[in-house]
Amino acid sequence: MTNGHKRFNDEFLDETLNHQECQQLDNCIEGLQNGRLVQQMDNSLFGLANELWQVGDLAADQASSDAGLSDRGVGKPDIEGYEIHELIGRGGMGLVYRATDTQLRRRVAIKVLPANVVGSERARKRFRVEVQAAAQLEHTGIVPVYAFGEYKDGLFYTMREIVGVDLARKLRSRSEGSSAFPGPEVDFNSAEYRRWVAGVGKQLAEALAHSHDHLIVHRDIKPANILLDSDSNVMLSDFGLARINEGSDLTGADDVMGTVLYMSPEQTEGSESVDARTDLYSLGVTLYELLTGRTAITESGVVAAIKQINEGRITKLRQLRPSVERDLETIILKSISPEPSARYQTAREMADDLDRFLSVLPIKARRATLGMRVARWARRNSQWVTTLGVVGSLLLAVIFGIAIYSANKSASDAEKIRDQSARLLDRRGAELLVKGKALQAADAFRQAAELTRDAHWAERELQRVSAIEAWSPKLVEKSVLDGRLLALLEKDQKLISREGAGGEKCILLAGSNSSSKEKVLFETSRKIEFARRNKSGTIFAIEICDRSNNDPEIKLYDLTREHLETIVVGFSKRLTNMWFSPEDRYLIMTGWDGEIVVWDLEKGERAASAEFPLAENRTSWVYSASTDRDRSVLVAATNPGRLFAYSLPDLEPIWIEPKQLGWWTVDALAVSGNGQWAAAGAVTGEIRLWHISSGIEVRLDNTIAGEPTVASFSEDGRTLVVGDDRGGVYLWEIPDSSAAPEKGMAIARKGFVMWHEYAIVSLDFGVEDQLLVGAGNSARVWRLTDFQPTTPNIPIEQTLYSARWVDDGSVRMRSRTGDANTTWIWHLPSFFDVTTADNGSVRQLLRKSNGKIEAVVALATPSANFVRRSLPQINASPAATALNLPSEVSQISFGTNASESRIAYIVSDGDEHRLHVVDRETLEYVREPVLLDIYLRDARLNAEGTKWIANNFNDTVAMGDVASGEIESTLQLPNWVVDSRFVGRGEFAAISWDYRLRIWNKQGSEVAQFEQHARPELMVAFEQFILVATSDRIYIYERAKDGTWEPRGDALPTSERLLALALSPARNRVLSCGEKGTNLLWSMEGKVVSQFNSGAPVSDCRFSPDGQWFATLTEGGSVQLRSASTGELMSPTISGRTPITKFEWIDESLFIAGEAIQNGFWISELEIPENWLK
Amino acid sequence: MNDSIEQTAELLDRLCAEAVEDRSVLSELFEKARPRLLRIVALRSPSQLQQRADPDDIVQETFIRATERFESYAREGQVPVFVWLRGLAYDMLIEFQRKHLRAAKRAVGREAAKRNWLQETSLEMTQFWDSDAKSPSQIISDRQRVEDLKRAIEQLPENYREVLVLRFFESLSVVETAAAMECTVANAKVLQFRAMKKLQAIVTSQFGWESADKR
Repeated sequence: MTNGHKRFNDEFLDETLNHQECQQLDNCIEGLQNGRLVQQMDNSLFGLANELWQVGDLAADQASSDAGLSDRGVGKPDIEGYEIHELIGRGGMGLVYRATDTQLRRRVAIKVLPANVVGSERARKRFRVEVQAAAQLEHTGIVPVYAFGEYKDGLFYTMREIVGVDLARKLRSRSEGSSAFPGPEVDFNSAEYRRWVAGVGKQLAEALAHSHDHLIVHRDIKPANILLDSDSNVMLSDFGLARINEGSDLTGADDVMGTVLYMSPEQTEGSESVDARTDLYSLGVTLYELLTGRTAITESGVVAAIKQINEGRITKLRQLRPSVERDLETIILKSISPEPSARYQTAREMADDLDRFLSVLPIKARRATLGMRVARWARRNSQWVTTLGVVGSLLLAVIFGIAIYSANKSASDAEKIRDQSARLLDRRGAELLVKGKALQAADAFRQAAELTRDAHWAERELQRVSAIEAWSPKLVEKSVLDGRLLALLEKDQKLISREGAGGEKCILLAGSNSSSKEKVLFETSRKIEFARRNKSGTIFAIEICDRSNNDPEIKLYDLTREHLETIVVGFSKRLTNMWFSPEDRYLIMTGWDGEIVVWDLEKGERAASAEFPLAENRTSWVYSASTDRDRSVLVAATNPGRLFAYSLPDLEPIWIEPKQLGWWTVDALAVSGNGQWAAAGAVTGEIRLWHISSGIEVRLDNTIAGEPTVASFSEDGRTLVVGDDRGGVYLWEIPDSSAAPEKGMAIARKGFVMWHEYAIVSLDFGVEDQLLVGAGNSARVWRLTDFQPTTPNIPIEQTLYSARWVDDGSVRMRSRTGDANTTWIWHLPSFFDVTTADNGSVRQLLRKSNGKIEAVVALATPSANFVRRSLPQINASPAATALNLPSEVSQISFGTNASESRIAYIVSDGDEHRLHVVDRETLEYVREPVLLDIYLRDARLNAEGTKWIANNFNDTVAMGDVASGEIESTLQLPNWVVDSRFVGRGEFAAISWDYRLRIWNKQGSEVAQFEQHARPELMVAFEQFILVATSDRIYIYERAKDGTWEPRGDALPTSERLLALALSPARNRVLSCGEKGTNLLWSMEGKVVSQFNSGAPVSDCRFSPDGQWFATLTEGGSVQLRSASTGELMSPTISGRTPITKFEWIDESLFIAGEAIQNGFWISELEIPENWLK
Repeated sequence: MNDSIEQTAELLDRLCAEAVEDRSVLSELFEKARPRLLRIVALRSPSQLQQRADPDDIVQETFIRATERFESYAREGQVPVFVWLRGLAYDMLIEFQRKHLRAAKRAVGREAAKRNWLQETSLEMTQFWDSDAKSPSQIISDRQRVEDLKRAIEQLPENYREVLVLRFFESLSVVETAAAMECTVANAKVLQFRAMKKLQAIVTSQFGWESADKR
């Protein structure tokens, strides 16, 4: 018999029990488990079992659906007569799919209500009745119901498929900056938008009038149930369904709120007294939201929201949006009166009043009279009313209450709104930050700081702003060129063309934006297309054509001689590209008419030319062309998609047959700098790669998501990156091969990132694997080793045309609109991440004693091994040292000695537990792993690394010798061991749940025991001191001169439970960080030196090695530095790319680490600027 | 669940016996055990973990490990096969948790949108027993009841709580519960009876429930 058996049996042995009752209960539970629910329970224990079973079932359902299991389990419904397409919506009630009615061959929207939503027979019946009724409704403002029925898993009904959006989505479009939806752009200050809302209200009120005429109350009017089709018509959907589903619609916190927010007071009380006026109330709050952008009900909890609804505490529209017309406000406030009798009595009345407003006629609604307000006040303060007596309170109110009350109310509401907005902005900022939209995040934080009334908070927000700004790309220069940019030359030199009086001028611009000198090189009546500069910078080749891109001339402008000449080449269509050869001997040109010409600049004649054969029925032109660095090969793509390769300058074909790429044009053409490889995108959505000299194709595996838009080889030709039209960037490593590759060779994709919602337009390799990627109107730098972003998104105001590295490491981004070119130069922050990309997480950052830069060890544990990483060679040698642990590790914990020369950890694989002690430098075992005969965790080492200590779940503390592998002491404590550690001089200590700190000497004899008044939670120990924190006190114990331990004064009270505690004996400082964000810096005498609030609670804190500073890590994942002597804030708030999870002081630097956005983790070194630490 | 828990358990044990002879039966065994394991894993996952690791993956990993260790289980296994699988799933869950949550604690923990009743305090238990026309206020009082129950369970001694969780939440049969708790079936029945008695005492004395059947 196992111990477990014995324990239980002992417990029950001596008791007499009613075994019959036990058996009955078990039968009952079994019945519940097998679905045999007994409805009428007369025994209270069974009733409780029933209730508990339901709670358990719900929890499991909830957990499964949270985990997305239920969706997968269900899949698309199988409904006869309908072909179900994609899921288009999901609500508390059910799922909406696009579908085709297979008999009538028409598109419909189908809503399915799974059995668990409409479970009971009664609910099904009601569903039928309600849908039948709704199907009677025929109105342009109501989505027609076509059919309904039952299927295997529940009920469904079909309705007209509306192509458009719901109003909730439309409203959200504002914050997303999207205006692609029907109707005017959401702008609360625009009269046009408000009139549109009033019109929407009128249409909806008319639709409601129609349905009310049929005695159907909608009951669930809310923005999400109002559809806006592409012709800007509004339509109500989900008629009468709320009723079927009352109560069960409340499926989750969000849904509850989503529904409660639009409920009328009478709906919140219960469903009996609900009539048509309920819909008008809901319509009113919907319009309120459309006009103000926020819900009328502002409370965030369900209970509080219901209270607010019933009290009618709703901020007037004009307090939020002063531009809202008074009449419009009156109409809406009337419709949302808490008392149904004060609202419009019919939907038609409301429609009429909205119509009057739209026709600029006087409306019928009147604002609430004094009497109504008093009544409302009484309603809000019903407790007072009953105590004081109605008359008394009314008198009180009439005499002075109203005035005071309404003044206070509006003030406090306005404040509440400000606070709420600030909170929302704060959250929005945090979200944006994680998405890399740092500048927008800073804006949000700045706005939050302006709005909030809490000075601490405002300060924190502003700190965030300054930290972001310190680390964000800085705009160095923005210049707008009036004219088309032909070529960028030396620094501050541009060649542009600009419309002149009789044609175009070709102008050389020199100087910066503000003080540029212009020099007109020549003027022409034709169009100046594009230009190239030769290597020595003395000659421009400039193409000029007529307005329809025909009959191009190529002019050479010699800067040194200020001489312009025209060369004769004979293209009939404009050029696709041209290049100077490196020694400036030749000009290579490819034309849309299908010709390639190599012009000998010395001799002034054609050196070679080639012409593509015409394809049948199709003009064959050189659509794009690319060459290598030395201009020794040219790869040209024609339309239809064929690829030709030529040697230069003789234009000898390299391939016998052109490569076929499909029927249309070829994008994303690139030739590697070493001339070995050509990559080309095909419209089929593939990217293909050829070895040029052999003509052998190498297959690129794991092809891309969209169509390739741009391709680029790295400088050494070993890396190919491709961007596609879905915003993805993909990477392959290409072998260095001057010899022909093997036929049939395939290269697997090395990595990719899906970055942008727009097509990638620009890829540029920078130093150290930094790839600059441009898309939409932003650019971002990604590190190719792991596809982690190393900068935030760098935004520009217009659509990006190209993004390039500038020599000094800045980034130049260009856009062009019409004849204007805008250039932005961004300086990138010097904050540079060093990151590894293992799966796993940073467990510890360790300080190294020798003071070299190679200073961080990150322990990554993808369950079976850990890897040491050293800086700064991380990228060079990714797997510096790796130690493989046994394959089955269920527990692992780390501890180190003071100088961190050794690491100890316990590896458990189910039944066997071993203690490993390894050398931190070499990761070699200090001795063979020690097999422990008991399970232990949390191994720690003493300062010398010679002894270890650990504890376990069975209240045991064990201490042992590293060298011999022996366990020297095993101590059984009476209760759970919270922490155990060495405290110097061979002594070790433990805190446990029997409210005690115990200290033992090296022989394992207890030398001291101190009682706390509550459970000890944290322990910090140094040679001289041990600090123990309970939920509300800190105890300090001190080693006296004779070596014995004594309490140092009384325990220090703390106002909050502590999450983190740190001690700096050198500086006589204790830092305690509370769970509510209050942090105290104490002297050891218990004197509070400084108190500061960190907003979010501090989860970890550490004094710097010299004791001068300390760093706090808040739960939001940011770090701050403060002075250890005064507690004064010394740094901006330090954030990582993702929330910081670990930090460590190493010499002068702070290292921070966090989890990477995709896989693995990042570590950054932060050199602390001097001006932070004053 | 069409089959009763007892029948399923029998079926699983039979499949397990067959699998000793013929390993290909294992996959059938796993398929039968999967829905219940999924339920348990989903139930026991902290919500933060759910955002990062799919219970499906955890269960799948469990099966992989079960395959590796099946031999030793078959040799010396003393618990019903489902209880053994459940134990492996627990270990796996802990591993996933360690792997995903340690570093990510602050990253995802703060904005955990969804909550798991077993893991966190939350009033938002929803979708009540009977969806027939309940007013929101009534639903709130139902929620209060759930909250009461939850708090009452928390106050129970460890083994009482465990037996209730195993039976009512994880839906283990009494035989499986006994095996999981390492006690005899008779004792499991006694234990659950006492646990229910104690629970009843708590809800009536502390939360003022009049009596549990008055609903």
